[in-house]
Amino acid sequence: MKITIVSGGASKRTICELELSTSTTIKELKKSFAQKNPKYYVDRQRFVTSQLGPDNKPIVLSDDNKTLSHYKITSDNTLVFKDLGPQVSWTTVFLTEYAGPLLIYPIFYFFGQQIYGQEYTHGYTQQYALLCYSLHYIKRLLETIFVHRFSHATMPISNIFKNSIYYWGNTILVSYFVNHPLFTSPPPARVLIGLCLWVVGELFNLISHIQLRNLRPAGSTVRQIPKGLLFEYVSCPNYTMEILAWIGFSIMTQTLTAYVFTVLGAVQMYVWAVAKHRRYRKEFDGKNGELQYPRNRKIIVPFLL
Amino acid sequence: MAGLVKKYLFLYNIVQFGGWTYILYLLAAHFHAGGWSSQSLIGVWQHVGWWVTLFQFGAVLEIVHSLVGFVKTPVATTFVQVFSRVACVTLAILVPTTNDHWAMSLMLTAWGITEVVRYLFYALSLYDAVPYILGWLRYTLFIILYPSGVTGETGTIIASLPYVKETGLWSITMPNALNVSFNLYYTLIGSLAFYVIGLPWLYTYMLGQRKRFIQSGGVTKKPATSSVTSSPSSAKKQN
Repeated sequence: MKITIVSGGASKRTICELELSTSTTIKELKKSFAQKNPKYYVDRQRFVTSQLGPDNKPIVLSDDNKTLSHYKITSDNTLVFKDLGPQVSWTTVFLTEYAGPLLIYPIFYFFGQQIYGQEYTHGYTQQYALLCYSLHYIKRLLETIFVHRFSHATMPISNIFKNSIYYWGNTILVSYFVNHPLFTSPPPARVLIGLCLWVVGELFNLISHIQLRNLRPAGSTVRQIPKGLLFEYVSCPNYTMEILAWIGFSIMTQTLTAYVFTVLGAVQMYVWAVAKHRRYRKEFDGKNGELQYPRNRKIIVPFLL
Repeated sequence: MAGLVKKYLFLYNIVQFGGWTYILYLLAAHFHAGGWSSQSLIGVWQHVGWWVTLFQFGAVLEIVHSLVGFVKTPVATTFVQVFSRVACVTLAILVPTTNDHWAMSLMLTAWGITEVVRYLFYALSLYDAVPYILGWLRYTLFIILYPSGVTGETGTIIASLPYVKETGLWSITMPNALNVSFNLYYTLIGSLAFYVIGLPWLYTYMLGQRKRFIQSGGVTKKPATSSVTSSPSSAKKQN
């Protein structure tokens, strides 16, 4: 059958025509489109139907492994092409945004004399904070390289700038105050409590990431219901534990900017967690032989939220 | 758009239009009384400050409109616009050295003319009733008013600097229990950089809008929104 690809927007200009069959997968569709339009490599493409779906919106051909017939395209048809813009791999984005904090944070520690214009020695809290902050980002870098398996290969290139500005700016604003010569440490007991929370958070965050990795066989984008340990209570324990680690860091350093970024991070992670929780529930709805997602599992806070 | 929301927005824009018309009238009366000389710039803030404060702080509602989805303007855009204005008004209230400065008169006059045209334009466009001349003014006056407004605002900020430095206004110094410090003096100097970056950007944007307006023969249709163009999930982080 003949599939006509048109551009989006008002113009609906014909880009090309492809000869495909009903059993052609979306991935193959994208490959044949890329052959004719090499500028738009597979990850840059998105297709939607020209006819509106049941909710009066075009249907997005989102699953690369599904066939055209799955999306009810069984005869000559028109699809709308959308350019997602230049893409960059998740790994590149992660490495760039995490390298910043790892390099920037210690600058305020080791060059404090030049930055603050006075000689001073660091207290133990400042030493622990340097260790915690650096270890956190070293862990993230290592996880990106050795642990994570991403379901999407790429994201738009603008994300690299947006994310980097956030991470780098965040680091400058936290590091400047924590490493300040006039820094006031909270009492030892609170430093210890913060440090303990940080260790627990980081440890279980790592464990959750490894559990997630083991759900997805190498080279695939298979989705399964995560199980075991904290996953029995919440859908995204990796976020729960990351938030806990930052709460620990904030208690330990008792610095306003650290608290502010803990809250901002928690809000963002909550939004992601809600989306992921919904996806799990939709995907494992217990119908058509699919598994049923555990009903009592919360989003991010055990038993509560 | 729901009928009630539309009525409310119309009312809001008309009230703002009325407020800024009155402010513009007060300004003109003040300059007139001073014989349009440099002497007439003295006492401008004392004369109109209360009304400017009322209507400019009232514009904080526009952030709310954007947040709850009454208007399509992105929250961030509205926030930056309203925040910079409110910050300048706050400086005028707190820093006496800004009040009789020429930049204050320039700033208020540029704001006044801009807002009178803008709010009437918004109000009428709700009912697709914008006369060509009003649209033309909206997309033409900025050529002069933007640079004037920015000169006025940055001039006001600069006029406040010595006073802010001397009094340590709103500054927080370490050590303190939250390990935080704030220096309004340097923050203000830093904010000047945003004007330098922001003006050319906004100016080019508005020139583009103007071109579109002239070419379309004065049709001020809102841009069509498409549900297809919403960002794909791949743009979000998932780990």
